[in-house]
Amino acid sequence: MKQLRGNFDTQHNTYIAAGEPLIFHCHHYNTFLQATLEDTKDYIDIYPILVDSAQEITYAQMLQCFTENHVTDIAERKQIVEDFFMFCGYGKFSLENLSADGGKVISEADHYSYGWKSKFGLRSEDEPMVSFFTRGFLAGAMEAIFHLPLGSMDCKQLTCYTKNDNEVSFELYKAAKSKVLLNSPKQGKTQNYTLNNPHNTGVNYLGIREALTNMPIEGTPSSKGMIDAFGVLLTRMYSNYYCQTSYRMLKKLENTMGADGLILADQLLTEAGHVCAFNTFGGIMESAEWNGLIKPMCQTREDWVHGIVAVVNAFGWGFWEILELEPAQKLVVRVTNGYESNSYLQTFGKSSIPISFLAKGGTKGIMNLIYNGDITTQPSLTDEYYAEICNSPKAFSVRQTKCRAMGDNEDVFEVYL
Amino acid sequence: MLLLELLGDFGITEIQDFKKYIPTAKNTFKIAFEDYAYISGAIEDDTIYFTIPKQNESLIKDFEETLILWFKKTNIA
Repeated sequence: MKQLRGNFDTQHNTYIAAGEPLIFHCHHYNTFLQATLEDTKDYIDIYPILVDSAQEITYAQMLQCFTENHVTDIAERKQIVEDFFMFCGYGKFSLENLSADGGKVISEADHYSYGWKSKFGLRSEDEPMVSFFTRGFLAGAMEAIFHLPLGSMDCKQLTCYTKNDNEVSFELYKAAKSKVLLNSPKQGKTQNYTLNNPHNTGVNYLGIREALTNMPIEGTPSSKGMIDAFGVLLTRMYSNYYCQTSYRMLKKLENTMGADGLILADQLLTEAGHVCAFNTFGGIMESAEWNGLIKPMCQTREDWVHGIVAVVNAFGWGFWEILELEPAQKLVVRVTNGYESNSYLQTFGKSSIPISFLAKGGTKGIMNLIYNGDITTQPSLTDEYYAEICNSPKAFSVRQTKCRAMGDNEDVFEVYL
Repeated sequence: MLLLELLGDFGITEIQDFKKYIPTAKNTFKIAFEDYAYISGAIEDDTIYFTIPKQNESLIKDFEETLILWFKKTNIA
């Protein structure tokens, strides 16, 4: 059976699978970002954005995969889709009962459904079920499998763990009115670059990147397509899914609320990146893999900063490098070929404000974890600890001082007290 | 060769060969109990991790209660 896996491209620090860039992110970011986006529902129609963005990307990717590999058999196409969904840590389902007219899909596990329940608990009766990404994925995949036009299918969620159901299930059907959906930005406006080892630390960036990109971090049939690693549920998520949902929200808020909308979106999206950093970076820095691979190279806390920045270079987020580090005071990070700028430039062109919100929140999280708290002592990464080190008056602040989407050659972030 | 690494040859432990990429690194091991739980750590390190995936909620609860009971008994002793 053919499998869709993709490769890590060292000239872009990106994982590419059938033209789509994939990046590592955890359930904390996935669900917190979704919660952030859903919070705008009283101002904008956010729910179609959450589904349609996934549908566009999955359709484009699967179509490219089937075409490049000359896969015409429907059963084989279904298997590729099922396997890829599982490999990426999205969960596990069977498309056996699906026909060109639609059908029911039952999941043995679903990342968003499980991740949400794990982080936030159950949803109330008046709230929708949470697996918007899976709905879009299934609709887009189905269109590619059966040669259907993009936007011709729709998908609703029937059951969800967040509603205390015992399973997660969906129904696919022909859309009453075809949706006008767009092409995926794919890799976007990219930059070629070469990662080098810095001279002011013993941390081996290149060795760390090579070790981690060769680790088998993937969902399997026995794990039901869930990737439980570093204390979080990981996914190899489409970077364009984060970008399309976030930036479409940003644009709609701007249209509705003007400059206030941009400020609000900036704060919300940056905080989502900050939450991600606390949980994912924190979990990594307390893991067996950190103890084995990175900690032996760390003599000082500054080496810990280098260590986690080196790890980020294996996530597919682009190239992260430290330009300046003043212990416990200031951090300046440069991001080259950052996925946020790549996608924004491709879809929207030039921006009037800096738009690399994940990187902004992420760099701030690094300093709060290492200097405001002390991750080297292995504290429990609880909500209370987050409030103590990340949302207190002592917490670091951050600004994006250069942004490719605004015309600069690089994305640069300054974290300061 | 260490026992853990030897057990890796038999598929009992999963060894991450980090030394291949960075000679000063420590390799890591993982012993999985199917998908219910796993023990991991860096070889020749002083910390061992016992991990129960989040999906196994009832097992997490049982394990925590057993651990609390064990510590109480140990303290009494």
